[in-house]
Amino acid sequence: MASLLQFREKLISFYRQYENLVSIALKFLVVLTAVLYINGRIGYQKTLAGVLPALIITLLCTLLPAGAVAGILAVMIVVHLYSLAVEAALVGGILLLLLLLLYFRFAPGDTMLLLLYPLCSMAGTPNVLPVAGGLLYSPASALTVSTGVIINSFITFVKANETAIAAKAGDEDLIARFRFLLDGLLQNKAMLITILAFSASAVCVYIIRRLPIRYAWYVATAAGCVLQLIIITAGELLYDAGISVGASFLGVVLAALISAAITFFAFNLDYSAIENTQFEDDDYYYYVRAVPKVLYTEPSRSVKTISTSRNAYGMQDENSYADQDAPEDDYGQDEEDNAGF
Amino acid sequence: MINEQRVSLMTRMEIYRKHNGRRDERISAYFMGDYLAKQVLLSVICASAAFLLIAAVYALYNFEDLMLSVYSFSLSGLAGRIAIAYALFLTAYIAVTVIVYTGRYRRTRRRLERYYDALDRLSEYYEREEEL
Repeated sequence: MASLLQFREKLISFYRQYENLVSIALKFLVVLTAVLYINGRIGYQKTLAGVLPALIITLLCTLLPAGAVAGILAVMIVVHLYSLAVEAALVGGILLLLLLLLYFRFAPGDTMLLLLYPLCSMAGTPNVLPVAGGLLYSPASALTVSTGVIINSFITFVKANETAIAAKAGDEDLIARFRFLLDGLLQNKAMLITILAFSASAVCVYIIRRLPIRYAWYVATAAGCVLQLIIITAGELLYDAGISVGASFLGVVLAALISAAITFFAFNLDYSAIENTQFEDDDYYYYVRAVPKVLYTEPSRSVKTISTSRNAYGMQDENSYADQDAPEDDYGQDEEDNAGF
Repeated sequence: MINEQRVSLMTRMEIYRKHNGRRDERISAYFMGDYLAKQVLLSVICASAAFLLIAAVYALYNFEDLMLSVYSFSLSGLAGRIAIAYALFLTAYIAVTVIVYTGRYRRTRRRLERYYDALDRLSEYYEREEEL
């Protein structure tokens, strides 16, 4: 356990030292995965689906906040759908606009969960997102994850029926095509069951992790994962929605492992970043670099006994340190420091 | 001679101002009622736009049935049902808005109160140094 704690502190120290570079690199990877996911599934607009445009969009999005990135990806989706069929773009555009009006109006601040959905989906474990949302954010993460499920389900439906949608584009019956696309969304039982499972999981995890019990975060993780599995299995048995229970089980197991790792790294730690700030008073200009203290120290070796040849014969050693430990450095923080100001 | 405690306090205050301070000051410039009124007004616009979209989608989805029955139902009854649906939708949206933004306003006030307490302490530091 001590070696795990040491590894954690080394990782945190490394992150703090290179925070800007690591944050940008991670954000680049997440956005690149999302862009490649969209291009890979519904890349009907050949110009936009190329490698160079994807890289340019990713580089641009890396510099923008998460909300703006989500907006740009939404525009990408609509452009791709327009190349397939006007009706697909219409339904997709209305769906994204409704999500913008109903959800992003409140901007709960966990849009990163939405951007991580493609990465988790490709890894086969989107189940980790509601648990992570409940651990790190608020119950509103249920809405964020549900938004990801809806968008992903729509993209999957379009991908699975692209031939039919493109073929219908030649007909004059706009309403029939519109209904076909809407039915794919509204009558998608798998999507509704998944939304219910993820929402319940996020709320359950949030409630349990705030309880004053030991290992609350681990208990919350386990409860959230089990609840997801129960709802998905029950939904599949009752409604025959076409959800693979085996794949869901594997996804939930992976989610539990990843969430346990999140708990290990995130629980009860001060993740304050290095702060560079400047201010002035009447006498000085202050250029301050505030570096958070590391909370875990490597155990220093303590001298318990010194064995000498005289001790072997039972004679007392005047310089024995048997009852003394070498003093350890104190890196603890004062209570006042933890109170904010 | 630099007072390290004072510098530490000033640093924390500046970190707060950099991250939340400016936004919190903008929010606290309103009374809570005015802030909520502004957010409710924006929510009315968003909810109305969303309702129009949902109604348009519903109408397109049931276009054939609507066209077949357009001569057999009363427009006033239809208008009444639409008005009730709009009122219920708007009420729910405004309720969520009030809950969310009331919480945000209160958290903002609490952060600012701590900031102003820190300002008072900073002022005491300066007064003590001047006395010395």
